Amino acid sequence: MQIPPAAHPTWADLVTGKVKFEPSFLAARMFIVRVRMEVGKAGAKPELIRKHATGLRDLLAQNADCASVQQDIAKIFK
Amino acid sequence: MSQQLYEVKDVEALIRRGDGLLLAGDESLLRRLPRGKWIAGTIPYFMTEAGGLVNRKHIFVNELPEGLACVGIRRYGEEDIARVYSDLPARGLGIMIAPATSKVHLSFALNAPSYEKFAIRPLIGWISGVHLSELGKATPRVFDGTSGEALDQQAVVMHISVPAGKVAELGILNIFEEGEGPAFTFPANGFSATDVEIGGRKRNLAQFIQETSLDLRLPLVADYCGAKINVSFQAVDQAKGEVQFYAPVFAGVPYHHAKPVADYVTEFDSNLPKRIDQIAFSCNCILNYLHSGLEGRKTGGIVGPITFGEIAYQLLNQTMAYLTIESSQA
Repeated sequence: MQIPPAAHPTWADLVTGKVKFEPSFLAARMFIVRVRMEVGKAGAKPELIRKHATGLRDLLAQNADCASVQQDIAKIFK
Repeated sequence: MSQQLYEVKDVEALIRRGDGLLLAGDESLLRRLPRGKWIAGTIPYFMTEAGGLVNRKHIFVNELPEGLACVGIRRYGEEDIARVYSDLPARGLGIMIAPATSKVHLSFALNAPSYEKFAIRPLIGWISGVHLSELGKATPRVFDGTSGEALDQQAVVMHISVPAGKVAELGILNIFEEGEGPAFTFPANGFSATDVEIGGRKRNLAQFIQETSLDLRLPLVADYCGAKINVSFQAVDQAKGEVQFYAPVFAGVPYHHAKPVADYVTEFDSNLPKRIDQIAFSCNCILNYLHSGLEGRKTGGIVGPITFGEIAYQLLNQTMAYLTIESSQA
């Protein structure tokens, strides 16, 4: 399945919480909560958001065979 | 794939067959096993097909499902546990056991979500313990089957390969939900707390617990993007005004005291995962076993060790963690 590149703005919006989304994939839930704490503390610096947006994209890409990840990608980028 | 209690001699035969094994049991039994592709943790409590029980004469054996293979066993201490995710094999997963209250347990609990490549591949497992009558007297241990050594300050991780066409996924079953009381927010990450914000007001947590007679059998629950993550109460020191937890609280995460649960098994059964036949490994918490009276009761046919902490990517409390192996959707 096609997963949009890390530069797609939705990844950053997921990291900052601008996009509210509850993933089915457990790892994504834990990852998002952790990076939102960090992004919040650091004052949402663009480079930090980019780093975590890339991390989130990698997490889903590496687990793209999971049904829950495929459902999440379909919902996020519908 | 078998998940059940075995006599030591039968476990020896399984080890000699050369398959990867995940073991749990009394330390004296585990010390008798030959070297091989196995890891183990000490614990005498189990969920079995006959229900929850205490058993110090048998070893709980979790064989790997067909097609999965042990491709290595690693040990980690406090100094290198941060590599645990980076080291996991491509197209594979890790099963980890760490001794309760060891430095590696505490470090993993506090820091795992910040490790490089956190959650990039599945990491599931448990925290080993002791019989509750021996708390403070006996030492929780893990075993590296390749050498047969018992370890009390290192974690063991079995690296497992997953065949093409199959995919490993982790899940949790937590019957606790956030109650309607005030939110608790903590000023720092840690296993203990004194002053916290409760409903937006700075309060001493120990004092609040005393004043409100808070039921400490119920955990604090945080909403992790839809996943309910617990932190269980361990002890309250009113003299010091300090509360200790079995897992760390994280600064900035709002927690709520859990709603009471009428009957754990009823709630558990009504929330069972759809495909329990695909569960390759699971474990459940000693606090659920104790507070919910699981001895002699069955939890939907799900079996495994009862633990002093569960790992599904990060440390969990009062939760069942499980691994499923399903057909790949690629």
